[in-house]
Amino acid sequence: MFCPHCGKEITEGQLFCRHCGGRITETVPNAGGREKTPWEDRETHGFLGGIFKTVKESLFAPSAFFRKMPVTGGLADPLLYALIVGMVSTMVSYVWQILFQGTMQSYIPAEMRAAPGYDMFQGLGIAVLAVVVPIFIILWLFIWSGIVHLCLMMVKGAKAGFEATFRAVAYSNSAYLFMVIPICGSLITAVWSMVLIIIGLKEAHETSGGKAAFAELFPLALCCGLIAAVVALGILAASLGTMSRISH
Amino acid sequence: MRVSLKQRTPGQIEFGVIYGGIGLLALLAGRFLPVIGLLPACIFKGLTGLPCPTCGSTRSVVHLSHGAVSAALFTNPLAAAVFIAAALFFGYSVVTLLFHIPRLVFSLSEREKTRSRGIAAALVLANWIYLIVTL
Repeated sequence: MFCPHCGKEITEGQLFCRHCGGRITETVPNAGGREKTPWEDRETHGFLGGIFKTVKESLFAPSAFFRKMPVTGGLADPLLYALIVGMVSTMVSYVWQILFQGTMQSYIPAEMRAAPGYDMFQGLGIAVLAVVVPIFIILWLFIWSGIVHLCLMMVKGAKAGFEATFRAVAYSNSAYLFMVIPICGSLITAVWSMVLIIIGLKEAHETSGGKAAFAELFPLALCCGLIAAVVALGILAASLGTMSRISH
Repeated sequence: MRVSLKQRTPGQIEFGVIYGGIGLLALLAGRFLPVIGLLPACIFKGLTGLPCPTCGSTRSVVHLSHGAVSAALFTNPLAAAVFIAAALFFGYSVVTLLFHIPRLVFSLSEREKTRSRGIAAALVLANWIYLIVTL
């Protein structure tokens, strides 16, 4: 291993660098001060109690929840939690979709209804969703955690390893329960899950809010932000062009 | 950089199996599903006429899944390289896991880590410039 201060090689287990005297701290942030989430402590809270308390704490007191959340202990528990919450949300939102389909269709413009891929998922039954959705949830959790962790590493914010990022992303899936709210549930979910991931990364890695926000928002901004920048430049160029024509 | 051989420790996350597996799933999807027709077109390219930094990744995966490596590298060099590396990493991780073989561990100093971050950012930028010029 290498000294984090001078970069020179040191032997494992050393407390101080023999070259520069710097302290070697390769510890997980605040590992001792953390405790199991109610979901992981099912022996005490029970299965449903564990889910309910974890949902409540992660949704409505996220800073305290993620500050206490352990950053080690395996991926299985957070993965299972994200799966349960994700499945419940998807199934309930599917029911809303069926109930409101007729009403919603009348508000959607005919051109949009005629667009290719518009009715791609409407033919899928609940049984197919039950099989496909868990696979997508697992894939999405690993893909998004990987991307977010890479972005966090780019800004030197990943202090507690990949597992901390995975846990923050998995427990942030609690926000998907807002999908049970008809019509605007998806929008609330999108916004609140981003907020939860940023808080989760900040507390789990004990890094700054700016670095956590960068890790979560940069992959989105890479596309959407660029669009906004180009549109803004286009508007600016058009305005300048109009102004110059007026002055002539 | 220091390269060493280390035995797998219990509970260690198998990144090669997980992410290599995801990469292989993407290749299988590219081979057997009409992914180009299913996935939406790039919004950024639709609005600006310029490709986004990930444009061509899906086509690159489809080319790779059909064994057309040069076409995949031409479409999006970085995406193709990442998927090839993922597939190789998957094979290596599975072999070392099944046969309990010590695996290569790369230890980087802080200076080398910073340099690696810079190289990664430069690679993404260079790949994007290539896409803007060619696509």
